[in-house]
Amino acid sequence: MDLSFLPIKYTNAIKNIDINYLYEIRLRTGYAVKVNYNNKNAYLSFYGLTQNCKDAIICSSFDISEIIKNVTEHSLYAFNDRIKEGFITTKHGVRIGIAGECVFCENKIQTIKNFSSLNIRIPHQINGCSSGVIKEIINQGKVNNTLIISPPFLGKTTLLKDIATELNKVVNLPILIIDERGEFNNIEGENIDKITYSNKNYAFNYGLRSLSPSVVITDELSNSEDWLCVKNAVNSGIKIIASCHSDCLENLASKNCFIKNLFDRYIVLSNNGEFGKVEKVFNKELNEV
Amino acid sequence: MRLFLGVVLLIICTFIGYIKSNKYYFRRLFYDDFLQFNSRLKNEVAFKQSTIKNLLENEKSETDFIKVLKTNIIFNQDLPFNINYLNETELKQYKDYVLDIGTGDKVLQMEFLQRVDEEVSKKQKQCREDEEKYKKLYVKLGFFIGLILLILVL
Repeated sequence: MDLSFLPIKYTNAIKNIDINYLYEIRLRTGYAVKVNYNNKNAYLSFYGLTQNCKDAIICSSFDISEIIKNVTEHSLYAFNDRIKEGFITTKHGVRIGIAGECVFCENKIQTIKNFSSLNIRIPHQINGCSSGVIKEIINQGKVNNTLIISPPFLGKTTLLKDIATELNKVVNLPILIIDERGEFNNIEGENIDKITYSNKNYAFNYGLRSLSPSVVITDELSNSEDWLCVKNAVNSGIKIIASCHSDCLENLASKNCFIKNLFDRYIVLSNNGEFGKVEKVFNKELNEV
Repeated sequence: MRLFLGVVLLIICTFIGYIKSNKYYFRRLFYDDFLQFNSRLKNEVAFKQSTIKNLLENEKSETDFIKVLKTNIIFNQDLPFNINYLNETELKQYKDYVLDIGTGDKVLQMEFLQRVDEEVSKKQKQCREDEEKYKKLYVKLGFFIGLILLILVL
């Protein structure tokens, strides 16, 4: 994973730890740098990890500016649409959440400036992590409409990425990935088309018309508009594999945006700290399989 | 022998005049590059929205203007602002430009580039006039000094 956009003191510290277990780096101006390492919280010191806050690297506003400068390649204008959404993504799919001062004009967000915190999410490609769920998704050669459900940080995107790779190999159908945040950058294949950095509404309309996919993979259905896009696609005979934030299916089903009978399978991920581990699978009628 | 020495002095003086006059040539070249790069950046910001790094990576020219930008943006090193044919105000203007490009959203960036465009256009025009005026003057001056020395030697 390329983390060369980080200031040198951070990259030197990270050299001393196994990057495969580094999931998140949190930077807040004036405070110690926190990391999520193997699903445990720790601080980043100049020599690796520490539990002692006093030994940790203290993040400065200069560090944050340097990271933004490096990721945007000195060109904020080229990233402003993403900055307005609160994140930027590096070329290698590292998503960086941004906190700062929002600038509004006529009730519309123009930009975010004076960045004060960054949340760097480091993606992981766990090859084969979808092996446990793929039989629920592909049934006798047919793809089931599938929704992956979990709270943040349990590997929904990692799982979706592996599902995309597996489907590309197993099913000879055109697959469209709608990648709103540039997190599927390294997912490629002979059957895969990608629409990147577009909202779902636009991507579904334009992608379905122009690319004629049989399967659409998309991350995080978050509002009624997203669910409606999926409904329209399902009604057009397109298979959808998506993910959604929720701690359980009951809570998701109680949300206003939830549309019943849309998905054939609901896969709920386990909360035991293991990335992409399936806890329960539900059918269309919301009964456990 | 005296004639030979005199001719050598004449050539040296003319050459020194030519070297001195180069300052105006380099200044004009610098502002040509400045204006050209700024226009290209304006187009990028308005349409393609490629990054400045990308723009510079595709830039083949190795003039002083581009070299400093590349050092700062591609190689992420400190800026060597020691361009001897620019005065302090001009160096400051250039340094501010290098530090300010890419730091705003599309609207702010376009406003900034437009303002720079106007300022640099004036500067470029001035440099062209200076080059025309002083380049020949320095060579002629060198030649005449050489000629006087030649006469004196003879």
